[in-house]
Amino acid sequence: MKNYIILLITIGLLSFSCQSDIEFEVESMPTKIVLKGVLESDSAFKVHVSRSLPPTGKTEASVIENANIVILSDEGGTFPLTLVDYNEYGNNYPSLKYYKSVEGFKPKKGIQYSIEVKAEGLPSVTASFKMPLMPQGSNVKFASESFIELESNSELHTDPGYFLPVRLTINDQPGENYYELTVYEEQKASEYIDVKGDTIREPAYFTPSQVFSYNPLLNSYNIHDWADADALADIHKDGTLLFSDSFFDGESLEVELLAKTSPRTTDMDGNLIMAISSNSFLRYHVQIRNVSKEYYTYKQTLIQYWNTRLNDFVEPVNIYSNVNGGLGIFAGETVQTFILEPSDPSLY
Amino acid sequence: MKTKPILLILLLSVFARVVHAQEAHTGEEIRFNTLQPTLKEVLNAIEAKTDFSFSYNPDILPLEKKVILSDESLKVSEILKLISDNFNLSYTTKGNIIFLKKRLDKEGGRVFIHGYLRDGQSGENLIGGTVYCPTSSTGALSNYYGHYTLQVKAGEQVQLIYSYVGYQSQMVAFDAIGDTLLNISLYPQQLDEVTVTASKLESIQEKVQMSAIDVPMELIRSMPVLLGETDILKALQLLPGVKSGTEGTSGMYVRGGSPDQNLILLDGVPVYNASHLFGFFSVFNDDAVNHVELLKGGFPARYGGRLSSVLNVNMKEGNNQRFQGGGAIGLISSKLYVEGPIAKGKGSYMVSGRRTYADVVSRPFMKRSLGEDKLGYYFYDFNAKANYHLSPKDRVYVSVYLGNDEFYSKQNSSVVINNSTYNNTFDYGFKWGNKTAVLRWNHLFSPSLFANTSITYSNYDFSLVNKSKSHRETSDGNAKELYGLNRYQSGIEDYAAKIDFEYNPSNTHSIKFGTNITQHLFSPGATSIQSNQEIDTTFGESTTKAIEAQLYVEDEFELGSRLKSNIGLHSSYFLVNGRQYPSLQPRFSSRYLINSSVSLKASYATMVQYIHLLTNSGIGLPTDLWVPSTKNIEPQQSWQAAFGAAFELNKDYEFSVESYYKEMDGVIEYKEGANFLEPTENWEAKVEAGWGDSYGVEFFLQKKEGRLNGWLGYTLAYANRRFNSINSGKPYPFRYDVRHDISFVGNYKVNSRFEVSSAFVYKTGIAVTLPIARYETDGVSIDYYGGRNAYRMPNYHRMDFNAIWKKEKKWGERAWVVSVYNIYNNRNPFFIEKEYSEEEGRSYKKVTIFTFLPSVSYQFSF
Repeated sequence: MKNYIILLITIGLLSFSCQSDIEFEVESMPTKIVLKGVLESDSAFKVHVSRSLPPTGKTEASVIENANIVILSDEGGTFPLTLVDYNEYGNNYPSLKYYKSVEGFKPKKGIQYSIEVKAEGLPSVTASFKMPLMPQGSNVKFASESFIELESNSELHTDPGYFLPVRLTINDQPGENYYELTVYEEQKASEYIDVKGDTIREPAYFTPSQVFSYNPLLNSYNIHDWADADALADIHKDGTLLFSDSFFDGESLEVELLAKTSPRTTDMDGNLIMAISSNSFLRYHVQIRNVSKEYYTYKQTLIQYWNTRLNDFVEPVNIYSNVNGGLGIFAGETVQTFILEPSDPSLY
Repeated sequence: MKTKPILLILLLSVFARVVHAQEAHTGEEIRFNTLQPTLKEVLNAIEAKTDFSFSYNPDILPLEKKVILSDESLKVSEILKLISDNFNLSYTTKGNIIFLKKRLDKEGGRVFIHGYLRDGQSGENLIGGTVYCPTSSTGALSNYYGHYTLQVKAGEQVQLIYSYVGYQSQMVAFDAIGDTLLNISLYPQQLDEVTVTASKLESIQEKVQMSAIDVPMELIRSMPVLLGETDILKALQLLPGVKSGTEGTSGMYVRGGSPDQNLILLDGVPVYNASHLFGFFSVFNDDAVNHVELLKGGFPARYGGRLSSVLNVNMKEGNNQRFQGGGAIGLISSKLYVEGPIAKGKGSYMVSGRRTYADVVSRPFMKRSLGEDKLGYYFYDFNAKANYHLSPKDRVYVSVYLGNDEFYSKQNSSVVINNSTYNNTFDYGFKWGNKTAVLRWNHLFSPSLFANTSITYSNYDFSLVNKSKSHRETSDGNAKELYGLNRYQSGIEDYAAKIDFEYNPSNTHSIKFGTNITQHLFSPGATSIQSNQEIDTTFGESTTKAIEAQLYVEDEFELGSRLKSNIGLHSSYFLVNGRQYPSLQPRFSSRYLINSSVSLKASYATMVQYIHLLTNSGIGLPTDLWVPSTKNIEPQQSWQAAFGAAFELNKDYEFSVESYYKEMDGVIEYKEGANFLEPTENWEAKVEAGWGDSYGVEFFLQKKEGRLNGWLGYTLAYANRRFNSINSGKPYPFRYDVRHDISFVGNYKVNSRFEVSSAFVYKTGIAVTLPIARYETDGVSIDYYGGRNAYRMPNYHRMDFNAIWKKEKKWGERAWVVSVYNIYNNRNPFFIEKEYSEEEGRSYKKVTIFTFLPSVSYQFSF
């Protein structure tokens, strides 16, 4: 219907034959520091720092390399961060530059952290959050012995999708908590001999799975729109269920989720044990993340933004920021990971 | 022929005679030859047999009626008592003269003068005309049906002056001896005629109602127009306190309110979508309209159901004197109306139609380029009204409005399968429109009690149909027919009954009360799919039924000569899905006369609105949906206080200044990221209820009469919204928060055949959401908007011009109307769009749709 309305509006406007376009100067905000730091309970302090750009013109590299960054904890700890140049994909790709604390310093659950970022010529920024408690997940198992095969609503995707059914229990702790459920498909490290007789060692790698649920309280995408959701997952390297505990505060919640797996041939369809056990290199990581409210709000708006950014018939979404004097996010999460080995009968 | 008063002026004829120096006395006996003489014989006998003589008006005495005598011989005093009792006469003696008068209905009291005020040429009711009694300095206004009621002292000779803007005043003098029905016809004022404004009742400083604007239809018809189409709503947009939406559209944003908060009434029936072609034209065909009034605040208790304004549009009733008609041929549409008497003086009818013809005109060209395929758009309006006087006290009306927009496309192709040719068709289109109807009965219970009873119907619907038929070759080489039908429908339908009373116990006291009940049927949208590939399916929202009832009473009274107030209470009740919403809404407005030319005014009104419009609040798409309050989305509520002063600068100029503050709760807005092109699915989850306020000050200088008329207005205004999940919960400017708004409308009648008019508008740019920065996160470029509606479009200004040449013809009158929209070609923004190029990166462009835009139309009347 949208297309028809746009068509009609266009016809209506063109019929007047008096449209003209003129360059329009959009006012720009003064440059500010942009901070992106989502601290994890089991890794070092790590943040990206860049500068904001004008809304018009070309996109430029914007990483700030001379920033003075320090993270403070409410326990009195001080953690200076230094610039790290990281290139995951080799010299042919631009490097990623971020600021990282020295080894050994890791965020602790329940502690309040604040950050100060100073950079020459730019207004300083500050932000703070409280590290959430460790999530309490249990009973993480396959919910069925079979993949679930589902058609897509998208006319462009005629092939069905295959979904891994998983169930788990979240034992919520009293108070305000926010959860994110993620699933990664792990292709374990392997070794084989190629045609030349050389031994080839493939490292393990992880593929994020888009996660869905039929439970309407978990803010799931419509599972039949999985083809559209894939695009979002590609960009953000994960596809998640993000929800608050407002409807089960202090209680346990049984969750059944469906994780979209990498495409499978029909001979893999059917019995899950038979299909996956034959592939001993594949297993699944189910992660329950207890995220800070700042992260929850940020991620919600980020998903909305990405989902609607090309639609002119949507009120624009401003992505949440808790950075005083700047833009971006400073937040944290604690992660509990469960590994589902398909060959383990106890997980069914 | 000009109407004369139906009651002749009573003149006492005095025949003073002095027959005898000796005074007569009433103890004398008179003897009659019969016991049943006529009154005339009785009077003659007394005059003949005594020294008495009589003074009386022969027109009002029943001289030929018989008097039943109890005896053939009676004293004069007994005879006088007998005839006064029998014939309702009174008598007084002065010397030898006996004065006989018709006895007053309300001796020593007051009598009612009432009736209808009408246009003498067409018989149309004149709404808001005045009747004024200069000797007692009292007066009254005619109501929406042209009816007025005035009380005067019984027994006195009174002069009444009837007047109406643009019409010659008329004076009537007579003896007020009883309740009198007096229908008055006024005639349009000719150019250069001196206007006698007999009364100040209709003057701005006298009216207790504030925040109300009554724009004469004649002025609206002479104002500059867009593409040759006279548009009532666009004319109202030039008034202080009323903002237009996007360039060229007819949406009204009154004192910071949104378009759904306007109660738009056509002959008292709500119109739910008052625009054609996405808001570029309004549904009101000026040929069919008699009167327009806009209330922006100070709402009397009789109105309810919307927060921000009441727009009363009254259709013409039709000429009850003679058949006549007219029409216009314009660039995009033509229109025609006819009207005439049903039975001369007893009733009349009016029928009017308008249709655009872009689709008809372009069909030959389309055929050349599209072949058998068809593509087109049109809209039409149809208005009809009839009325009939069942009796002097009863009048019935029926009026109907039908309007539709339709867009259609038909594509044809053929396919050859197994040496046979098959036709494939793909049809799609959508249409939307309003239907309203009302059956009304006016009844006069007494001169002081007027009742209006109505049964009304209103409907707005939108439907989209997508139908296809195609053929595919099967594996065995045969043709298989495939069909699909996708239908989407939404709308709102009202059935209502109401009764309103108007009771005028005195000239300084008027009570209005009434009640109404409406059944709303909401169809927020349902899609049905049929095909030979899928099972027939219908999904979406089902119809929701709701009942809305209102009860009101308002009392308008004067305290002393300076203070006049209207105090009222409006009570309403809404029932939907078992959920009840009752409310009590107090109303108050008052004026205090400083002197005869200056008054201070104040008003307070609370309003409740039980229905919401799901809209993008911008371009007026037909997909905008009316939805009821639910248990999750509560009714909208507001209160508004206004203070002001009104001045009559001289007899031609009126000036007012008003300040207001309005607070609204429960207004809805799409959440950030909600797609408003697909609003039907779980709409409650896509919107959020919040808060809004608006405040400002409005200045208005108006000249209604004379060769030069028009107005100058300025508004300083602020309008904000606040929603928990929008803009981080912080208040932000309403999209149509226009800080400064200046408008000028001038119309000058050069002579009876030529007039020119011009309009100028300057206003602050509307608030929009545009990015003010970008940043990268995880390799993704993110726009930063700063805040909802934090950016201002460039200021808007334009000047329009209009000229009308009229010429009398044998068959009637013709007029050429030349209009230029945006005469100095200012490139006002319609919207801002984003562009991207490899060389320049991202940039923005301002899109203008209406630059210098001349139009011409030919009008005729017969």
